[in-house]
Amino acid sequence: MSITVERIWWRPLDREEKIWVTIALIWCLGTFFMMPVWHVIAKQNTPNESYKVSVDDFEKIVIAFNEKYKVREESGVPVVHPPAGSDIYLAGTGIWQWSSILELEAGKEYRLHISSIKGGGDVAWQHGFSIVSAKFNANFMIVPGYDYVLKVTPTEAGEYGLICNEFCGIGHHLMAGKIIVKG
Amino acid sequence: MDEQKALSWQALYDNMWGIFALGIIVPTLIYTVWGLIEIATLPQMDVSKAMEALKPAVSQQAVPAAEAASAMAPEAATQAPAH
Repeated sequence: MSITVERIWWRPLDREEKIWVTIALIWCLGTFFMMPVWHVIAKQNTPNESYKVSVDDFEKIVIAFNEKYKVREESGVPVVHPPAGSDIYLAGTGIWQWSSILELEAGKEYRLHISSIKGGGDVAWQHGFSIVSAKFNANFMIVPGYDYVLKVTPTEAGEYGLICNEFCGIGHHLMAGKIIVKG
Repeated sequence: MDEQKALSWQALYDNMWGIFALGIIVPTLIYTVWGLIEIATLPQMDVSKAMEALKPAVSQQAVPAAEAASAMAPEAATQAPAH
C-alpha cells in the first residue's frame, strides 16, 4: 500500500487567504514607502552628503581649522570656537584621540565635516562618531578617505560626551571627547 | 489525483536552486552593486576652497601698515625679489 498526498498548495488562494495576504501586502508597502516619506518630513535623518578626500588633505584642513579657531586647551586638546553657521571639521586620529573639542553656539546650524586622520600615528583608522546624551544621541561612521558632512544645530547648552563606537584598535577606549554648546 | 500545473512564480518558489539564485542576485544588485556605484560616483572634496576659508585672518591693522610702508618706499615695493 502506498500513501500519496495530493499537492494542492499551488491552487489559487481562497477568499479569506487572499484578504489576509492583501492586508499584509498593504501593510508592507505602507511601511516601505514610509522610509522615503519620513526622510522628507522628519527632523532627524541620516545625511547623504559626503566627499572623497585624501587622509593627508583632511589632516591639513583640520590643522588649519584648529589653528584658526583655537581659544584654549583642555588636557592638551585644543578647544576650538568657530563662527556660528560655518563649516567645522573634526577627525578621529591614528593615536586614538579626537582632533579637538568643539565649542558651538546653541540654535546655530553648522556643517560638521567628520573624517579620520593619522594625527601623529601611522594609520588613519575607521572610527565611530557617537554623541552620548540623555536627551540626544547621534551615531555615524568615520571612514578614512571620506568626508561625511552632518548638518548640526545644537539646541541646548551643555557638554555632550563624544565617543568612538567602532572598535578602532588598542586605544579605542581612550577616544572619549566632548562637544561644548554655549547658550 | 487532481494534478494542476503550477504557476511559473510558484514553480520558482518550489525550486531550491531558483530561490538560492534569487537570494544571491537580488541583494547583490540592490545592496552591493548600488553601494559600489554610490562610492564610485562620490564627488571629490574641494580642498583648496576649504583651505582658503581657513586662512589666518589678516589683522585690520596690518593692511594699513603695509600700505604705509610701500607708500614711504615705492621703489622697494616694485623691486623684483632677489633669487
